[in-house]
Amino acid sequence: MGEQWGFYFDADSCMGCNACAIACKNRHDTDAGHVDWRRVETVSEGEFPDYEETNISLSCMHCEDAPCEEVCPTGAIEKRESDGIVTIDQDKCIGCGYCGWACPYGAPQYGDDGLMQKCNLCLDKGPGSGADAPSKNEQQANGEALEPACVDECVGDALDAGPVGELLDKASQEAAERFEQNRTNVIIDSTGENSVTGMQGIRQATEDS
Amino acid sequence: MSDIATGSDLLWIARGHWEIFIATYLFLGGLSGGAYLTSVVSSELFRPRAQGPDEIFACEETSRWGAIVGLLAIAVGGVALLSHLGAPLRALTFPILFTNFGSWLVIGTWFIVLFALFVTIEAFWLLFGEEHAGSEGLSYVPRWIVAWIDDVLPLPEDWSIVAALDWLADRLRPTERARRVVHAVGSVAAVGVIVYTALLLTDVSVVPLWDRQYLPIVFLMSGPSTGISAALLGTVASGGGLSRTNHLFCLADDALIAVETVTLVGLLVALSSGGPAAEQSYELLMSGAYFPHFAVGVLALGLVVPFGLSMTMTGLVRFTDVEHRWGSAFTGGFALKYVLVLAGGFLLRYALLFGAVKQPLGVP
Ligand code: SF4
Ligand code: SF4
Repeated sequence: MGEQWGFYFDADSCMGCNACAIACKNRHDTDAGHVDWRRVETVSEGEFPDYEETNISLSCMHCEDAPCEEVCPTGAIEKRESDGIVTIDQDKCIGCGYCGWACPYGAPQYGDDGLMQKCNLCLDKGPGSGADAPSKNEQQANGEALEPACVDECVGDALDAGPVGELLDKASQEAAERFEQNRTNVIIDSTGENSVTGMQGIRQATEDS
Repeated sequence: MSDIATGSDLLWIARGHWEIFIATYLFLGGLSGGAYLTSVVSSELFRPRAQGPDEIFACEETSRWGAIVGLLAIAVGGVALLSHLGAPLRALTFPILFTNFGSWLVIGTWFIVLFALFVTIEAFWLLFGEEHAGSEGLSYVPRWIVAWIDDVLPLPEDWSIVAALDWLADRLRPTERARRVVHAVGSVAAVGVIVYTALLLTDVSVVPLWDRQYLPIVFLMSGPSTGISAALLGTVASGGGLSRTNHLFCLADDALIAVETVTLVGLLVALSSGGPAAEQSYELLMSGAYFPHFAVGVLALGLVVPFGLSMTMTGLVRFTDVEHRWGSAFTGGFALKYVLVLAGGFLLRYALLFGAVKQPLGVP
């Protein structure tokens, strides 16, 4: 398999401005307020005066085990061998919504055409596009890899994307270790006391409790 | 996204996109499989042992109603499923398009196709052929409809669709032995349809309400229970309310209801302390928005009341002779039981879909 691509997100640098979400909508022409390939959620903790908020910029995690791919009847969802990016081929989708249930992050969403769409790590522009695009690794080698719009427009430099190996070089050791434990292909960094620490792991914790 | 609730420490994820059409489809799938099984049991087990014309009539009505209801339910369920899809016409190319055999949607589709074939053949054999010409019984409605079409269509004098279907049915009718094999394979397909509707849900591991341990058992009980109820409701309407066939099926249904109730209680206990999403589902069903549907509709009116009603009537039949004096009250009682079970079966699917909550992400 070609090197896996993923996102890097630094919760400490995120100011919750939504520039990433809007940039994504602009590039992919998704319906305003309707389909969010990337969205920013705010999670609060405690009560005034001990009140903290954490912003989380969420998109498809391009999971290692991609539960959406496992349930999709038509093979419209594919975890690409060449770069590990999970794509939806809208020419095969029947709009059953099964992937929407299977995804732990609410990434696949219906468009107005009744077909599923989600982040394709800006392999190409527009819903359903990119399923058969050349590997992001090749694109990068040729200097043509489209930088994800969310990364392009992030005001606080909280988002990055690229081959996971390169992203790990940039991440803190703690974030790298967390990533190795839960390979959702989003490396989440934070030094703050009150920040996101590996979403998948925490989800597992709630299941076990 | 407006339907994501954020709360302290936890980030709640939006539910998926399945609404009432899918609840209807899951309900009709289970009912259809159950109705076919009811038909087969009545034909294979009860009919050969039936004594007297009334009992034979009741058995045959149950067989026919089971097949007709099974056929109708799978047809309507299929339409409900298709109308939910974003690309329904594309889905009709499933033999080519459905390539992921690890998906329960694909496995289930093939079970449905196989089952639809068996239930269609069964209904055809039970309604057409020389031996059925001129027969009485409310379950012959489809035959009457075809005869009515014969009347209104401007067909030549010696041309009749009913006669053609009778001729075909007689040519295709298998030997007793072959029929038994057909019933056995059809029953496997029916159970496949019933169980797959549960496994479709339990394959989604992030919804604790769709529990892998309990849900398949609940569906395995509820499918046949609703199937029996639909087929026997027809038999009661045909005048077989006081027949032995009805009593036996009603008791079998009670056993299914008892196991289903215990399993649902097990599921609820597991949910009540199963982490945030499980607990939220528990609250939605037992005291929140879906309390009327689940606690009242499913548990009380769909399970406990029909079970109690059935037990009371069975006791009265067994130990008194009031059945003969109060025949119409008993007939009404059985009809009421079956209607309640059917309503409960639908509400069960409805509550299981709408009470579904995804595991939230945690932010410590
Ligand atoms: S985040 Fe959801 S849509 Fe993306 S790969 Fe994972 S399961 Fe699939
Ligand atoms: S909605 Fe489309 S992409 Fe999602 S599981 Fe169904 S067919 Fe696959």
